Amino acid sequence: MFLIGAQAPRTRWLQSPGMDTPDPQDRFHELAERAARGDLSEPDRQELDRIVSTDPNAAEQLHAIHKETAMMQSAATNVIDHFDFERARRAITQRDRLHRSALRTMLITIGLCAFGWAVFGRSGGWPLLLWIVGLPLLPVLLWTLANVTRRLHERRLLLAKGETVFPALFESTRKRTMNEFRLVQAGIILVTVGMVTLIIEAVLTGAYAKAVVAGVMLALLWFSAGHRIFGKGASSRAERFAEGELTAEEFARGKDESRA
Amino acid sequence: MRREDFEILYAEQRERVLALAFHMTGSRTLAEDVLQETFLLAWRHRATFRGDALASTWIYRIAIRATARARSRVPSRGMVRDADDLAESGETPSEAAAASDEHRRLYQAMEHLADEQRVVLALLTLRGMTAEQIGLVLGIPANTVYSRAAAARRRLRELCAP
Repeated sequence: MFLIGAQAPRTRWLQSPGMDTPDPQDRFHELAERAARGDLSEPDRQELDRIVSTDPNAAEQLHAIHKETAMMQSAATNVIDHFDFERARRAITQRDRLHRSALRTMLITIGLCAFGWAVFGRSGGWPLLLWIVGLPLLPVLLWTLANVTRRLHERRLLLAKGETVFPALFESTRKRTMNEFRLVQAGIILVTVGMVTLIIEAVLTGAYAKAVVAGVMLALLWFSAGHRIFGKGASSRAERFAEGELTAEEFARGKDESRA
Repeated sequence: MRREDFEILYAEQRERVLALAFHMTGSRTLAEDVLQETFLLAWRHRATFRGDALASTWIYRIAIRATARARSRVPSRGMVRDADDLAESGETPSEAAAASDEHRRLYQAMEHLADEQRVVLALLTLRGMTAEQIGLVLGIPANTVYSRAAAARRRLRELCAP
């Protein structure tokens, strides 16, 4: 063990009046840790040398600390050298966009439901409204549940195999985005069919006000989202968005400026 | 925090966060996952960064929490497999094998350290981190950092002893 008390080498802290008296072992460990990281001033180095020269055990520990630190740093360097940080950055922003986009979609859906309920609920049209809104939402909910379960299972398998999950995560994110794009397309078609049915029914029964409101809602849907989801090159833009080449704003604008 | 500041933070800290996560989990796979999770959380909660601490301190705290969550998801996972392709320092196959074996034993031993000891050791191993900075990250005095590191090293040596 260390030489403590009468046999201990005189260190700077022992010579400084008024200071708290630190444990000599703590002081040695502080100096040793800093030495292992090349962070020692000359007086501290001399102090460490004095401790090591009088205590073979300290020398052994210092060597072990150096060795462990070097091994850990070399292991980390190896991991860093084999990692694609740019790809990770794209995946991070992509995941963030997807989450925000999902949140927006959910809020818009809730808003539309509330608006629809306010308009149609009073006039007795709420069962049809539930069908219009609920039908597209049901597969989204089922698909989300199935997808989350599948992804967790896939990840567990990959981890069990000791594989790097990053490429797999990136690929699954891309596939998920494309699946979500197809689901949005299906949802818009279903809502459109429902609304057109509602308009026809309203016109046939003479409820022209209801027909106008439904027509405006349908027009808003297509004006805000429909033409971007079904327009020329929409699928290719979605693919490029999923791969992180296009931002959400570029995708929403409906223009692929990089290809213009 | 603006997007530009976040990009700078990512560029400056990404390697350290990956290294920290690797030392904490002993797994390259989990470390990569933690890196993404850390910066995703940081980006989402960037409004909570008030600037009264260093951005690096803030990101390490997030990384430590993300690592704890990752470890709890895969509690028994260790360094055993990943260590095989880490040691490339040996000039001959036998030297490389010996180095790989040492890496494996070291990280296997780290799995048995208490969380507070492992995190101190992991942070101390990051290049350029001072005990004062580590103390700020963990909310402990600098001398406690050294005493925890010393306890961790003693335990490591006991575990690695043949």
